[in-house]
Amino acid sequence: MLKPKVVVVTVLTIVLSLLPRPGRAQTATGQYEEEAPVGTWNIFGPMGAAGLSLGETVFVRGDDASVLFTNPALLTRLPRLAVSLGGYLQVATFFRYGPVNTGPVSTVGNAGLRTAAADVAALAFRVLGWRVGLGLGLSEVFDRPIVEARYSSPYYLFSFEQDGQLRTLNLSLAREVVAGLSLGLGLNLVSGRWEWKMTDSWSAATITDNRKRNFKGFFLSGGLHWQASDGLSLAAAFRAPYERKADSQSLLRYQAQFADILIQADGQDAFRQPLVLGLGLDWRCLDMFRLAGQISYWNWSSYRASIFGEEQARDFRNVWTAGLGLEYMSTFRLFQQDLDFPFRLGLVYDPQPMGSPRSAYLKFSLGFGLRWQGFRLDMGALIGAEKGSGWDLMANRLALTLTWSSGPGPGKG
Amino acid sequence: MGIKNSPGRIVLCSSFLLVLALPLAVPSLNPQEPEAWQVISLDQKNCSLSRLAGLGLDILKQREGKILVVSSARDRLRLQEAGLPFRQETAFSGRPAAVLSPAGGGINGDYHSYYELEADLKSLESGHPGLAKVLNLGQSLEGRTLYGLKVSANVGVSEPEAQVLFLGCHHAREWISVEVPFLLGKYLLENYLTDSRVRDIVDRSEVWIVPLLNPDGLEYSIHVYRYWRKNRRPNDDGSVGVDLNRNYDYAWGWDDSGSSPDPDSAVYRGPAAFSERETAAVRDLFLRNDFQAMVSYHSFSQVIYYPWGYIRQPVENAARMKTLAAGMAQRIQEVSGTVYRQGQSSLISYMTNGETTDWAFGLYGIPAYTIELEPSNEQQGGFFNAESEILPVFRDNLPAALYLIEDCIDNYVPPSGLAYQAPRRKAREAAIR
Repeated sequence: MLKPKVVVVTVLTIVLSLLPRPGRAQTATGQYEEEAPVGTWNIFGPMGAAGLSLGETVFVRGDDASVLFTNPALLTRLPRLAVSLGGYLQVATFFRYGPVNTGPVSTVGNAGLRTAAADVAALAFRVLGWRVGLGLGLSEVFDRPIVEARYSSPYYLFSFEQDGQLRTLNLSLAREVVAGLSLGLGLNLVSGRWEWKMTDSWSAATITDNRKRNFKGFFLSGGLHWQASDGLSLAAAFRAPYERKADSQSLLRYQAQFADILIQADGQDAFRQPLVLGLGLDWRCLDMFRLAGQISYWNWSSYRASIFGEEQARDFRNVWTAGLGLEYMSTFRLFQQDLDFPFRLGLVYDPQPMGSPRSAYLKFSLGFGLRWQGFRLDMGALIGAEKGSGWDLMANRLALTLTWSSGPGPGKG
Repeated sequence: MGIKNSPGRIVLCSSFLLVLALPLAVPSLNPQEPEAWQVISLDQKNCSLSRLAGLGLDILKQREGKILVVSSARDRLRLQEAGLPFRQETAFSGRPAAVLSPAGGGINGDYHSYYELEADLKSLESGHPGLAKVLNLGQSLEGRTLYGLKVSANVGVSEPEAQVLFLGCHHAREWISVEVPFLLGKYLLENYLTDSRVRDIVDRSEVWIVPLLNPDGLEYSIHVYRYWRKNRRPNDDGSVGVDLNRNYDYAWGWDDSGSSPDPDSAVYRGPAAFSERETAAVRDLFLRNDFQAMVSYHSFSQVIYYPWGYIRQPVENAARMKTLAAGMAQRIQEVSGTVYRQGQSSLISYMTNGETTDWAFGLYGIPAYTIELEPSNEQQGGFFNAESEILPVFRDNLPAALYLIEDCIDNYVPPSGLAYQAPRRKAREAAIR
């Protein structure tokens, strides 16, 4: 067995050296679309740090209560009571978004955005043989780097801001229907906001363009988990297609000495989200090693975006994403206590849905966990590099999940 | 540690107030401070439009014996020196109340988006069989159809009749330039049965309307950046867009002041003449037809321009073109007093090359006009027109358009071998049905 202190120091050194660097991160290409989430289009739901560090394999392993967002059947793999809280720091680079590098504003290189948020609060418990999960998660963020440009004239100012987020409230039920086979179903309510502010001002006039929308929607998610043997388990998960609706408002205004012209509109936006199907595998390949894999299918060709009642052109294609992770479990004693210390590595292939340019992210993940009695702390880092757009975007994410659980583990009560 | 003695407090408070006051006390020394614009009026008895135009003044309207002018401090000084009395129009002083009408048509209000225009054009076609035909003139770079609307009795047949072309929206941000030609087509169709003048025009001519030549740019202007001008061509240097109104192949790239070779410029002329699908569509439309006159609507300035734009040399052999420009300006003014100046583009405005009307006149010899719609200046809205202004601007311009078409009808000489015939009664009856 490796010396614990050596392992801890080595892992921490590696993780710290790979932490996201401000200003160098990524997001998907196609950020030209105002509704594109930061990071990637392929977001199944909020995920915990353990899943993230294991190649984003979130369909098959029940590491913490955040699994209710990705495969509710995994609730049966948790102890009798589990509470998880998570947060992240994400740094992403953008090249093309809103007015940036699409016309009026050009950048030298990519623009960086750093966001930090608490993104997971989840509770799982047992009632009469059922497993119940309740969670609130931050699913998507729509922020963009702020633009403030002053041109040659001191009276010329151009500014642009976009921000917003989508939250998911999840209620899940799961049950082990036969020995080793669990089914789960989740009801998800989404809500959120999106806001856009642009100002174009010079000596003669000021144009302001403010828009906002408030999202609402509902979808079903679910899955199954099959413990095929002591060392092998399989899972399947789905997220049903749904329409993310929004009440939207727009105010376009031109102000000059002899003019104050407004075009104000209230409307309905709708973003039809695709069906997502996923398969996962977890295999204890050696005594201390576990291998996890996952593939998922995203029916992006069915995606539709309608803004103020007018359908927008979105040339999207169906994509398959894949993730692979390896976990090494070690145990050591620290301060007279036995600690479980899983160390994880992963790779993710994450193609984006835009028809042109074809673009995909290759992500490398790593992380570790610490388990002591009912407490569990997981930390994961994801380093993503994009190819295909020509802009070499990056997306890095550092996630932390703290879980407290009580009661026996799966299959024990 | 604190300051307990009174003198110390006084010093501290005084310093604090001084620091706060400093930014307020510093006088502005910047010479680029905006000018104090005022709308003033002059008695029509004391001066003429041409005299005021000669002083370089921005004339707004002429009505009720007054000429309204948007003036800078320098303009007012010039008027004083010229001995022309004026007075400030207090109704225009200060910032006006917001002009607001709830948008019925989405984010761009009552203005047409590409999709709305597509639907409305098709609705005109289906609502007026035999009179209206929507034609696909090509595809934009982003895959949008460039639509043309042909209005004529017996519209399915190409007849020996005067053909007049009205173009709109070379420049994305000039939303009003979509509405005026579209409303012209709608007016002709909806009044065919009830207005004998309209019926005569539609029976004896082919009116071609291309209300939206730059659909990609318009959509970008609606959804991303309101002041976008060019089309959406990705240029080699990473910039976006070609100025469609500098991309025609008459005097294309004549010099770098009338257009720019810099792709980042707002007046980038493109890598070659007719490099853009939109301008190529206009060229092909000319090749398939025999237009007698052309109007390209733009905004803003309240001006009727005619060639040349690429040289300052006065245009020759253009007596009819000049007369028609004056006639159109007069008819616009007769509606509500709105003054549109008129003249040779390069002489009363800035230089342009590779521009639509130079091409149409230079190559085909037809009267060709750029009509810069209302308002007259940035202080009044620039490229913005309130939704409530759409119809008034159209009404101002309608008589000018009808006058131009009628003049073309009157001067039309059919190609040799073809005798002009009024549309057959059968065709008209079919249209009425």
